Amino acid sequence: MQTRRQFLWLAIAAFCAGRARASDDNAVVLATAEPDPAVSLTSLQVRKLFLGFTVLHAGNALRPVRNRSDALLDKIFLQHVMAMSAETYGRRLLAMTLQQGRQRPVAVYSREQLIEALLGIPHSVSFAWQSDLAGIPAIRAVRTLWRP
Amino acid sequence: MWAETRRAIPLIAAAMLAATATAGETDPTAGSGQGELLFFGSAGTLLQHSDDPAYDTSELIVAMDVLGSWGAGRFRVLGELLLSTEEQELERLQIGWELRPDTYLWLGRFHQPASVWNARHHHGSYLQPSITRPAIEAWEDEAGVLPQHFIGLLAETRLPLGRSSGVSLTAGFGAVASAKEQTVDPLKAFDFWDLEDRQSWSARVALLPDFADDDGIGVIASQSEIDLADTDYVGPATHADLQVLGIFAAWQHGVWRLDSALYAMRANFAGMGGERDEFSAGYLQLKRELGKEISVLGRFEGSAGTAGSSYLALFPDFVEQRSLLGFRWDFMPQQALSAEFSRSMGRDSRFSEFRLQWSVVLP
Repeated sequence: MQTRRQFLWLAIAAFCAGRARASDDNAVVLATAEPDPAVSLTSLQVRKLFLGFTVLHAGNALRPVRNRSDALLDKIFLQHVMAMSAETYGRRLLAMTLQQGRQRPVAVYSREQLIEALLGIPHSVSFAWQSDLAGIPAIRAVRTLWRP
Repeated sequence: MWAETRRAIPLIAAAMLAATATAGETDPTAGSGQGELLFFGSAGTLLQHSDDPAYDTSELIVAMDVLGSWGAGRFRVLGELLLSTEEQELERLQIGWELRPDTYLWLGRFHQPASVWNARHHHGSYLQPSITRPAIEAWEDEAGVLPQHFIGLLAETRLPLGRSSGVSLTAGFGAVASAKEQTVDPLKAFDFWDLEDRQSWSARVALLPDFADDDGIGVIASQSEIDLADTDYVGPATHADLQVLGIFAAWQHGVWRLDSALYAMRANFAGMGGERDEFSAGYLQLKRELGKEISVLGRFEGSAGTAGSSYLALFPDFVEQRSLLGFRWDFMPQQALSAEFSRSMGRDSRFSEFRLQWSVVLP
């Protein structure tokens, strides 16, 4: 009886651990290849960055990279990070360019392009599924943007 | 030839200074510039029916607004060129330096910041909620009574207020370009040396509930010397001092959107013994989204004190009152079809207009 109860608790713990792991993997994180471990952006700074405003870290202007490799990821980015529809976001970016000549974020359409952009563009910042960053030590998740 | 070269000297010098400063920038991204090229295109038709049939008209209007910008580090350059069936004009050419995040100092030719509508939409027809702009925001060569372009310095900043709000401050100083200068001699518009009877300053302050958005409430103020040599004015004055003070509101709440502004103006004719006239004008536009792609809007424009205004007498085509209904269908990404019907009353005329427009932005 004792053994059976221990097995049950063990199974529940394993199930919970698995769920937690799955949640972590499905989280959307802010990612960068910046070597400075102190990179941390507030919600407003992330919004500003992806609208084309200048956001500095250690004196360097961060470069936004919009990850469009996955439709659900893009939807989460618009709803939970930018808090606007795709149409509104598109118009806002156009308005920023029209008003001040600000550049729209570079867009990538695959995991490979994302890794290439983050490693190749100095001070670049993007967002991704946490699981997509596994096994790439040069790219770090600096903040969780969304969890299921 | 020398005169034309002399006019361009300040711009060339500014470009060299900025390039030099950029070369010394410690930001390692400074050398890797980024550019944008946008094309705001539109094609439409206008049918105008006047109370005097002699003024009935129909037009086909095709326009392409080309916007180019390039930036490296803190340096930025921006140009806007409008090509249409009615005019070809270099609207803006500005060289800027970002002193700190969200603070720019620009040199060049701009749209003056005291026009809320134009500072927001410029010539980007696709981004305008309506086909037409309110009469008080009209360009100088489209019966506008306020100077909308100037040459000189422009400073822009946006400061955080609280957790997510902000305050934006924009101020410009320079010379206003008359409509004649803009269309006849584009280089004349960049003449920094000839400030006589053309000096202007303008400013806008806005309280922004969302720091990263342009919506909010605010005040505008400006003072401009209007060179009367370019107008039909007959009298002893060489210029009119035009002072403008205004308030505005731009607000989006759910499916509703409000755009409104009220301007109070005072014109003093120099050399007329202090004679002056005062008038006001404003508009209120309400837009409602009907689903994701369709929206309807209504706009009312009004004015007061216009009847006895010597200043407005210089602009006989100015629309003093207008009621407008509009419809917009965003049928594809970055493309829209719009229709407008309006009834207008000018100084000496009353007319109705129907407009249909397709607008697009590429890429």
